[in-house]
Amino acid sequence: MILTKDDLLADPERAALLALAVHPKLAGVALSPDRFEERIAELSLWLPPGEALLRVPAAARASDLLHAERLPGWEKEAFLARAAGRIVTLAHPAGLDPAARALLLSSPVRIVAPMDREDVPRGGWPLLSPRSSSPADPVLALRERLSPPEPDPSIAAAVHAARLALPEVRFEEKAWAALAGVARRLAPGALGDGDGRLVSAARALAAWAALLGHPSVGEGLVERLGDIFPLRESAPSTACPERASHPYPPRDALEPPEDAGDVAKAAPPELPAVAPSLGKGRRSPGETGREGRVLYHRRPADRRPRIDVAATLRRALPFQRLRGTPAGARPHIREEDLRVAVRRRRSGAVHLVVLDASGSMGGERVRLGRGAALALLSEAHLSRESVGLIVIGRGEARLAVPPMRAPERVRRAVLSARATGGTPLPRALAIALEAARRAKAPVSVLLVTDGRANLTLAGDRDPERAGVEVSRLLAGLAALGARAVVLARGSDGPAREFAERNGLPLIAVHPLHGFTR
Amino acid sequence: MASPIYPFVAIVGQTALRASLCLVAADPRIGGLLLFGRRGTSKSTAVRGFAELLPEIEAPEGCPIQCLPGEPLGLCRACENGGRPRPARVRAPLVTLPLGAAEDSVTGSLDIGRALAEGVRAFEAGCLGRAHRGVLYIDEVNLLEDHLVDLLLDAAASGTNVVEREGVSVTHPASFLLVGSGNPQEGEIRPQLLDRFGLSVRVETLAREDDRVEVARRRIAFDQDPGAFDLSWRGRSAELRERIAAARARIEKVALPDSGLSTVARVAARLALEGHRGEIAWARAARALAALLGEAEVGLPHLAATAALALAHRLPQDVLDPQPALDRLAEAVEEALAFPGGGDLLSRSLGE
Repeated sequence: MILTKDDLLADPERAALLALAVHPKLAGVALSPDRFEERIAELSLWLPPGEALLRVPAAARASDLLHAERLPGWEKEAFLARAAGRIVTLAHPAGLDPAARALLLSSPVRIVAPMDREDVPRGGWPLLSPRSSSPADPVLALRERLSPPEPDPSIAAAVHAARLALPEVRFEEKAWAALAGVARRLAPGALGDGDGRLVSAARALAAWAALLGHPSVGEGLVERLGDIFPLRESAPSTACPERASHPYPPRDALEPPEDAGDVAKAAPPELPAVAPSLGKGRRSPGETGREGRVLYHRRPADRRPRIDVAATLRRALPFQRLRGTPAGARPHIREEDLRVAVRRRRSGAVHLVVLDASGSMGGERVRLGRGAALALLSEAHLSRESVGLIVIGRGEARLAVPPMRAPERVRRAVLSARATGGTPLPRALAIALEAARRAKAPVSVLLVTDGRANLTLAGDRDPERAGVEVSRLLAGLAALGARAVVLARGSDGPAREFAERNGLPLIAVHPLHGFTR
Repeated sequence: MASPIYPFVAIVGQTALRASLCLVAADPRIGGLLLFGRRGTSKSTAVRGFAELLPEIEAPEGCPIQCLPGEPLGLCRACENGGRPRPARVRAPLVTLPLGAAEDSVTGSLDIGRALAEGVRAFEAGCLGRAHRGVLYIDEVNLLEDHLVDLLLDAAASGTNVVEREGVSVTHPASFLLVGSGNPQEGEIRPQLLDRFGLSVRVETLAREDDRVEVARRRIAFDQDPGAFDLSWRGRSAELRERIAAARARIEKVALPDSGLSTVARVAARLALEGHRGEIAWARAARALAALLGEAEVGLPHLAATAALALAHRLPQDVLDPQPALDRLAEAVEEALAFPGGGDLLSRSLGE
């Protein structure tokens, strides 16, 4: 059974998933979240019985994926060991711990994840992002969703045949010549983010050639990449697209968690008691996760404990003779022997300073911001809290210093900020949101800005849209429990207006008298 | 897990990346290599392929930590009962430390299997032990958990690994070449750890379209028939392996004249570097480069070619734009050496 070109090109997402099912080395496919569940249900029908799709556990940490659990009579294989060579689905890519993401991407698994299309490439995901395939006609789309088409069993046969044919597929010389040119016409991020773009494209092409029963990839097939992946909107610029890209998945970051808007309305962040201290860090209570230093061992309190094997054995082994275990036999382990490790991780509150050093801030405002940031810094250092710095300047927002307890570095970074360029406040907040999501402690965000955002997440000069993005991102921060505060001179009209518009408390600063409320 | 490994010599471009790996292989005392760059810039591919080029070492047969023959530590089955295992030639190991690894698997721990089956308290080596006399590779080193970084710093600073846990009390040598890679946009590296790396390379995206197509072309050829692909590069691999082994053998004989050392000191002072690790790493890297090129003495060109590798990650930087710091470095080097850049020495050191 061989597919026809029309079958393949009619539905880009399906075509990408077919390539994924055929080629074991593709990194993965990003699908529109709209029909994600239906898509993976269809995909699972094409795979042979031994290769059922695996779900990456929600909010998994690296250690959850890596470690097996083994006790006599109880074995659980590590997720990555089970997943090797398989296709895994990742329902919540934005919620994944960065270390877990890195681990997943460096493992021999293929990933299918829902991601919203945005004109900015999605930082860090080397996934193919085909065009979204929903019909343009809303009635037709609705009808399709109400009665999904019957799965076609012959496709499974085609996938199987294509896998066998794949190693024989060759590339015509003209195909190589065409590849770079065609790839340049595609939207940034269409072939994933990273230098492997052409490799991913070539692998997908080989898989499609195998599905079509072609012995080789020709120029014609390469040209069709534009049918499957979205095209660049404007002419390719000579600027390096990576420069413009953003370290975190912006669209996901922009998407506030469910009902974030309501939370923001219902509970505006508390006013800080004393400025500039924005809430003290709490010592994280001991927890029984996998990370951190072991404090002590104790009996498990919950039903599904993470047993510490060595501690359990240490507890059980002295009783073996009492329990009548013959020498050399497996030890008897009883429930009262089970031990879990109580660990402690670094904690302490996290302060994120968003220092707006854009042109609109002017020299004086920036100097003020620098002073305030430095004051916060020395305060935070005394109470062993960490401070991160996000600097807006030269039309860019950067995580200049990730949250850490290295005051010297933050200080140097703060002092080097000068006022220039446009104000991509949304991008700065997206970075703050991502940092807040990763923080394992209470987060506060100190905004040293006049709020006159004029660059959107996509990098367009559009103050109105930038304002909307700012509100959504602030709602997202509030939903995470992060408290945001604006810091400005009392006489600063734009900053005051910005704080009022977004329901944020304003800490007024006077250059001579220090901080007031 | 015997998936085929892409040959190191088949990597397109990325001269600085490849050359710096050869430099630290020629002289492991340069002290670690840090690779910065975006995902998919062949960092991991280069390191994995590099393992095939490491010189062989002599170690007791079956020893999990490749201890020096003649100095049995009694750690493994091979020599725990006072036995004298035969020495064997083995390839220096490349051990990958995964993110999210448990402390036990890094330092080593009680061998649970043997504790259960035989009732003995035996030691099972962790990553630090297994990487002894070889390479410890950490992908995404900037995302490594803090407590693991602490363990790593302890071992890297002292060259030994001390294990005190669950009934085992063991101290064994753990001196390894630390190779880390990461994307600085995703998280910063702690300054103490950064300082441990002798050289750093900023791995850039390939600029030329032709090169990118060549990457895809070679990768697809490798996907389809790894065996044949490897065979077609075997000659080049062997050549480079010999070059590295030869450099390692004669590195102590390469002279480092006083004039070169005073240049190093002058540049370091001018750039206001903290500490002396940078200068030492620079001098060693220049010597390793001379050794790879088969020369008898370190000259200004060798220093010029390795300056950025040894010093770039130690410069005080402007957060918004790292470029000026690099320009200052280039200026300082050019002025002190009266010599513009290292030319093509790095690619020549790879035999290209």
